[in-house]
Amino acid sequence: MMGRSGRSMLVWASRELGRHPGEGILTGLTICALVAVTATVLLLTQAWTTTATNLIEAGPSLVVRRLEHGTWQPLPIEPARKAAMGVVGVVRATARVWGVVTGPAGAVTILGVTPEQAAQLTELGLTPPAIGEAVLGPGLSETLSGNPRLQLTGTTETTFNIGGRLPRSTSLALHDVILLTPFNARELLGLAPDEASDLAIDVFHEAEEEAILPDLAAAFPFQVRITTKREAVGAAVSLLSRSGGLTVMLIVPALLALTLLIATALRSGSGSRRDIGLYKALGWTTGDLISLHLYKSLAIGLPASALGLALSYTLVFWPGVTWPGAMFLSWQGPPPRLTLDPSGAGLVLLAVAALVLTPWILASVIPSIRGAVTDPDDFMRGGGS
Amino acid sequence: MTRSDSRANEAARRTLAGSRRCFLTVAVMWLVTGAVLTIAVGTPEVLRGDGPRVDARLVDILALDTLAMAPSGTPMRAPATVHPAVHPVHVPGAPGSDR
Repeated sequence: MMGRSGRSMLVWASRELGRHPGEGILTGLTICALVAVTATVLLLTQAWTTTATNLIEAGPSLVVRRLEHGTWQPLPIEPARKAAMGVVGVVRATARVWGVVTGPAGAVTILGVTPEQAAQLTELGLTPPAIGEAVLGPGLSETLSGNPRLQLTGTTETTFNIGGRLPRSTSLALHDVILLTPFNARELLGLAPDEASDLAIDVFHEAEEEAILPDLAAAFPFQVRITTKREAVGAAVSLLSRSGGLTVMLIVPALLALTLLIATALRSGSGSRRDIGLYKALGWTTGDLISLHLYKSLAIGLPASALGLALSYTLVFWPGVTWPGAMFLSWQGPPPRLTLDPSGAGLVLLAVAALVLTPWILASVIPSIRGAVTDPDDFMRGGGS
Repeated sequence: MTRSDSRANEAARRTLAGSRRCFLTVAVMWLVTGAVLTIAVGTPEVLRGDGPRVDARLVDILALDTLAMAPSGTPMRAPATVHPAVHPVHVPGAPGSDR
């Protein structure tokens, strides 16, 4: 008998599926859930790594902190800056004034914004802080909505007028950060006017980040600890990989479900040997039977996995998703709204689709290949192997 | 072909047509819903990845080496947030706490 066309095979496959619609729908839902869970976990890890790396790459090359008797100390700005700029390869040294103080709803990070930084923020359309004013990060804006004043407790207790609220798009960098003038920040942190929390350094070339570390450390008249950009990226990326245990907990049941799905497909294929015998007795070729099972498995597998992939993509890349922060990082207040970088997501989606669909299709098709070598009469009499 | 065969074929055709209609309807609904939602809300940021770029400018301007993913004052906000010199309230005995 001549091979059947793809269209007629699709019709036959639909008819076969229509004989047991409940089974088909349940299998589809299982594949969809399996793909969605696996892809969500892998996409989130990949997207967070890409996003965090890209963001921190935009920051300083090195951060120098003063160390004395094993503990941190504020830096004297001018001597520290002079020492840093004297090292070959250093192109910029920025004194940062920042720290953690107590806000109305717990610990918050405050950051002193210099006039130069304020001008750049204005260019971005953001409100810089004025003396006596606090500009709230998006997370704090949600917590303190409707409150015109804010009390912060550091070495002093100070009440600020709320001078502005940062938009949600800044959430990843400044979610629970309060921008103050350097004067107000120093006052709150107990720093002298000539002191800073640490020194952010930019080097001429990326390769010099590690190379100048000994020279830079030796240049300061006090003991320092230097954090590299690579360390900062590692710390940020490890935030979600700490939930690696949870990833394994999600992936392992998913793989078990996949195994069960394949076993069911194989068993179902063996159970339909009588049908295979019937089709062969009617003149169907082995190629026709393989095509029929291929179309059947694709008719379920393709829409189900597409739906699962779409679901996971939406869960991870929808602008402003909050569930990763709430689930993995134990935020008491509103978690940061994440807008993650989707570059590289296509590869992950393809890998997950292949991981699930390939064994599923093989498990559906293998029984018909086995059937090719058996006499149709054996099948119809309940024999065959 | 007997009458019962004819009825069986007719029933099979109806089932087939029904399952095809059902499959097509679900597929079209999913595509349309996905397209509308993506265009309405997510297109600029989801497809072009514009969101992180705004934050990258901020990271550059404010010279940040840590992101606000974990809560302030927790060890997860590494590497610099738990800087005791400027963290006198939460770290007893830290330098600066006696000022």
